[in-house]
Amino acid sequence: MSLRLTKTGWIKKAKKKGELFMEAILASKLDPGFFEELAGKLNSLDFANCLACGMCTAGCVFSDVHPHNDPRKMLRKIILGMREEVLNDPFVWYCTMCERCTIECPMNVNVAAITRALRGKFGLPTAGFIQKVVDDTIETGNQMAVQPDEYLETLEWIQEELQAELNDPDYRIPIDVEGADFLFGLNAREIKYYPNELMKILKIFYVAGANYTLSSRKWDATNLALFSGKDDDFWKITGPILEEVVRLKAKSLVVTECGHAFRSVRWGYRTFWKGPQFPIRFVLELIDEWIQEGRLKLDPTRNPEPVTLHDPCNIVRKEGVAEPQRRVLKAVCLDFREMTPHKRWNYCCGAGGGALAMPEYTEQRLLKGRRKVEQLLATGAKVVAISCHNCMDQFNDLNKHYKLGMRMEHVCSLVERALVMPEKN
Amino acid sequence: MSTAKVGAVLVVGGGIAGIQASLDLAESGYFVYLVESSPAIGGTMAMLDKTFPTNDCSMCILSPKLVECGRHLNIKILTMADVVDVRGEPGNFTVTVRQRPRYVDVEKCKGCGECAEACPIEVPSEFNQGIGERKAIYKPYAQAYPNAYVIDKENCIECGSCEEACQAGAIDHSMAEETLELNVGAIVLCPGFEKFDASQLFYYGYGRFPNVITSLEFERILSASGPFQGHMVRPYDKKEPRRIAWIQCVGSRNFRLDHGYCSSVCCMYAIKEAIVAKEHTKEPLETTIFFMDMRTYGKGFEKYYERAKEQGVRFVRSRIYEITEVEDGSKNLRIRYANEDGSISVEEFDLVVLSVGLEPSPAARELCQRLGLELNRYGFVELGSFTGIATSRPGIFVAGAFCGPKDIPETVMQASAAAGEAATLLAEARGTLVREKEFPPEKDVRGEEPRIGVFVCHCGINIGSVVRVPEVVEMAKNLPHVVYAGEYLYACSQDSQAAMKQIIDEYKINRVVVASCSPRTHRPLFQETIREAGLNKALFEMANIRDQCSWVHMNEPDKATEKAKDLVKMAVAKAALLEPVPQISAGVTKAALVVGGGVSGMTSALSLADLGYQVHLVEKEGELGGVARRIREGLKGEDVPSFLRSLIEKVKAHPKIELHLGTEVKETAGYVGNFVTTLTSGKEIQHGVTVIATGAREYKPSEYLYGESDRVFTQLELEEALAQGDPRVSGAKTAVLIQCVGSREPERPYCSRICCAKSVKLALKLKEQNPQMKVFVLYRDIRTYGFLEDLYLEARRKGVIFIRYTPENKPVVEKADGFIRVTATDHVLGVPVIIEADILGLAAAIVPQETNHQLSQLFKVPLNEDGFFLEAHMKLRPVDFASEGIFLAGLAHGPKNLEENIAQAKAAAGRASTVLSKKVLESHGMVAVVQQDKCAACLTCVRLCAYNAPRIRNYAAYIEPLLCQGCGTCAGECPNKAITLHGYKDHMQMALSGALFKEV
Repeated sequence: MSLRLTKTGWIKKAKKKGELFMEAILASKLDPGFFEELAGKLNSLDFANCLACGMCTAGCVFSDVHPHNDPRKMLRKIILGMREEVLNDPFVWYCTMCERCTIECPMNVNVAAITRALRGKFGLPTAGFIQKVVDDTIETGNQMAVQPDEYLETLEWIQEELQAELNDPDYRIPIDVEGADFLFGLNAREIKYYPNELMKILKIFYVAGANYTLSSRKWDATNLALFSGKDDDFWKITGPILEEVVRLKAKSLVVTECGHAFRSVRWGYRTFWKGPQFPIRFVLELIDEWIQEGRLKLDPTRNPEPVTLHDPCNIVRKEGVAEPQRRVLKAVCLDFREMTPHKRWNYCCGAGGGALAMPEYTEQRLLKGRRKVEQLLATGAKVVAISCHNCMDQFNDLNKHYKLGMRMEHVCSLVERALVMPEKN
Repeated sequence: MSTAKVGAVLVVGGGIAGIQASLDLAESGYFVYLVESSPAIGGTMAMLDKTFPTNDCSMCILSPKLVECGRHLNIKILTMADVVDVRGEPGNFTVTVRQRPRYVDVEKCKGCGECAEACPIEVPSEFNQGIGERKAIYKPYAQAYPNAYVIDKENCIECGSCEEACQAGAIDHSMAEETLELNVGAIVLCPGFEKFDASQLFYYGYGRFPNVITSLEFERILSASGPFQGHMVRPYDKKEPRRIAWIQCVGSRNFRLDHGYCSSVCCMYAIKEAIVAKEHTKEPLETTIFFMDMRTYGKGFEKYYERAKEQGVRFVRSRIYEITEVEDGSKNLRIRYANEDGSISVEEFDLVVLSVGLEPSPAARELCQRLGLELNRYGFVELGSFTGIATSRPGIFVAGAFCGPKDIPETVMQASAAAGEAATLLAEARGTLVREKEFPPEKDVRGEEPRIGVFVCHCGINIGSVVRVPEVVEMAKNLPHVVYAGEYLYACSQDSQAAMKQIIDEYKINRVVVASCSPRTHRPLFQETIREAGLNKALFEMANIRDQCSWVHMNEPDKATEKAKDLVKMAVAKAALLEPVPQISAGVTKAALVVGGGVSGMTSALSLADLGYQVHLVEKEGELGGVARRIREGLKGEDVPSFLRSLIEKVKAHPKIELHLGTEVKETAGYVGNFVTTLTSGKEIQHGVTVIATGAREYKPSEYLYGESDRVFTQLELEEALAQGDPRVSGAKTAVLIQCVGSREPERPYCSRICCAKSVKLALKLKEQNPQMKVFVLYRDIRTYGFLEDLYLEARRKGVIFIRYTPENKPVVEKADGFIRVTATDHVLGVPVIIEADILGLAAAIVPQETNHQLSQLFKVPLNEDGFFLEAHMKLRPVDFASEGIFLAGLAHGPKNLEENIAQAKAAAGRASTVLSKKVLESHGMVAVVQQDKCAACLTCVRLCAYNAPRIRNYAAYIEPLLCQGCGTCAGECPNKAITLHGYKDHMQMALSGALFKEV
């Protein structure tokens, strides 16, 4: 037996190389101050309401996928005051912060909020390269460290492409235009890797006659500090884009198909923003309205394959946008199929909480993805519509890893394919 | 300035609480207005199938009360009526009541149902929880009082079919709303509760999945009078389920929805439903109850829980995250749940029952706001501390689930308490507004040829689904002396009773036989009916074709039918020989003996004394106060010592209370209304009633180093030490409290009920004294029922750590150097927690007084297996003993907290006043009589009688008729056959057995 008393007071025994198991808990070493400290950092004591009832364990679809993923066990350690055990628990980084486990917790516990606080407010080193991305974003204004000239050149290229495609030599991408209906917030990947995707969106804007602007200064709406849990970093990143709305006198902020970007600006706005009030909307909400208003003509036969829809946690469960994307898909596809469950009860793709920026946990991320794969296969769909860049990466990985042979698309891509160009007059 | 008090009381709400309060008040000399919002009295209890823990048929025990309440001379029932306004002051209120039109004249309607037959409109039945239909003209349920139909105008199309069909001309579409002004002295509110709307919890699929139903819907499915006649089927496809799951805490213990409280009754009703469901099918049935803490805290509940486990009910400790529907078209349900060790299981069920919680109805909340009554944060009426029944407005009392979720016995108890308190307030006006019951003069049937009427009951499907009732009736028609035989769906219902009287007149019947259920519950009812028809009540005989026939032979309908015929034949043969028995009456000594000077005894004594009766309060110790002297703080933080001081002062100062301290009861004799008790002081007391309130004590543990270490305390000791600033406690850095010490163990298999809340309170107290103290509570199930759940929440939020242990893996307590080492396995992490405790508090059981056995023999009242006094009926007579005139209250009855003891003590007083308020008491009639010349005074009867009825007078036995319960033991045992029991004479019994072998 290799029992020993560790510095933190737990008697541990190595069973497998590199793995430690608790043998006993010494009450004298429990730290009631941890409980209070967490309550202070969460600005809520509700986690202490926990009855250890097991709803969250059952609600987390990953709790039985790989070890150290049981929210109840995590909460228990917190309640007991096991500071070191909590902070060293792999759960802190395994949790995808998808909020499914406690979305209806009768005791009002919020595991995602707790996870975020543990990650960012107790001096833990941030896992993976999340912190690097955060630092880059703070430094350059965008998570891909795209330089301003590079950004403008990309837009210029898109503009030229669209002028040709639209057969409109006067076509201009509006940049820093004051008083527009909305400032359009991007994901930096759209500039760096996927200008084609952005082009499709701007084409839809053009056809719909949208009155919008892009910003030349702060155009990336993403914020990985949502997952690192460091509020100072978070606000340094999200604050400027909200200020950009004010500077450009835009009537609202609209966010591209990126879940955590949408969540970041909305949550940041609710939590920290003290400036003028304006709406923050998801791009698919607008597209849905344009379709209803008849501003977009669509031909669903151009998307004849069965399509299913993934509900990104940040957009649907946390921010409550669930219906517009469905109406949009029904307008642009012939065969739309729901996953089970969906909307508020959807399963996380397995890569939430910044998992893609934590390569050391790739194995766990792909294991978690099995739940989503089971859902996908049950629909019989050939195409998966995904309105989130983060989820998109996970789906592409799952597609390869599990040899699904499906096509992963953003919703806007499907819209653009169905778009019937108006007759020129 | 105060006006004269009014001897009438308004009771709001006609559920079991309102019915009990009304009956108690009416029997104590007050006129009662019972205002019920729906078209019939009965409330939720009428909807239940069986009741825990006795598994009595709910309707069977309620129905006699409905009838009694319905036909009570001093109870005016106003249905479809709401209280609009209350003006005035305690003792003299003017109440405005608005009565909605029924469109059917209650006086004219005979409840025949022809109108509903004719009505073309079908509407989901509220009584059946929307399963099955009723018509737009309907009677809420078969046994409803008033036994009259009602038109639901919202759905009525005014086609006129009902008017055409009604032979009685009872239908009146022109009825309009009426406003009444009632003058009453006090108000008792019993508006009951509403069930939580389960569709608020989307994740359980109620309203989306047809096979997810509420517990009340399941009650209706199980009920013989329900939509499927008691066949347990899924409403969706009428298939019998093989796997049923119950999900607990649906709408309870939900902080998010501000339903943080525990609904108190759901654990028990779920267990009951699981047990009853198993009885409803011949096929194997899997029953699973998903729960968090099993709260079987009431009297007899823990044993019920254990029995359920033996009967194969499965208990899984897990709160359910969601219910999903299986996609194979079966409409079965799938549940993914976490096991205690954190592993995940997925199971499929045919039916899921949601154990929905209790909440106050919006209408009742609104009424309270109009009346200016204080409500708690959940919208229930806030009770005045240590009152058990008082609202924030003097003269308005409350009973039942409207002041907190509670079960039927506690509701009934509280109703009696509220009635008692209202009676006390109006003592000077007692008897001013009541009328006397007058029966028609008895017809002299002596010398008449017997003319027997036979009434055979279907009892819903209880009898009718097994015994072929029409065959029994046909057979009965051919028996000698039988001039009438007929069948009834429920012989005890108001309509059948009315029919019976009419038929007795019409056929000139002079002997009545009812073939139905148990004479124990129903004979008094039928006897009163025949008295109303002018017959002596001894001219009545019953054949029990339910309990002793259909229930026990449910799988053999042919044989059961033959047996039912035999039973009826026998009853008829005996009935032909019945003779009238004169009623004997006696006066009532207007005084009470209360045994026990604790809070319960003192409370009962004060209530009775305030009612104007002389009270003798006997306490064996030299001072009053009992175990409450050791309690410092109530569960809501009340100052118990000052409450107790003022109670003792009131008792001591009351001119009507005579204290007998340091005294015990030596001997007692006599009978209800006329007891004589001798005390150890030699004093002899005459009294009409007795209240036993002798309390209980705290168990002295032999477990967990108790008595071996001065760091180990019982709860009461810890409370004292805390209050006295004991340095062992104030200096402690770590405290452990262990629950269920001596309770829920093989030698004491009951739950002591109060210790969970008490330990939580103590833990909070320790934290209050020293916020840095680590406090651990080791428990099996936290049983902070009702609003006590808020205390449990508060403790968790203050950092008290709760660790659950199992009886198989109890905490290990060891002495160490300077501390006590307690080791318990954490229930979530599965790892031992080693606690170096400075102090250890033990939640020691509440155990019955050692003197209970003596008192039990002295007063001839029974004890239960655990040594607590046993009431007459666990459900509906919670403070009465089977021996009349003797009542019980407080810890002597079973573990309860101070607030509950006070309510029960007031209830005992309220019940006792129903006896004391009478001018005369009448004997049962069926009493034993001694033929003096045959008696050898051998004392056999004196020794045998359970009720102390016989004594020796003039060298022969004499049986006190008012005390004799008619059990017949003495008659059977008398060696010289000197004793006969009226109604059970030898020749009658011979004829009865002889008839068994006679062919018709």
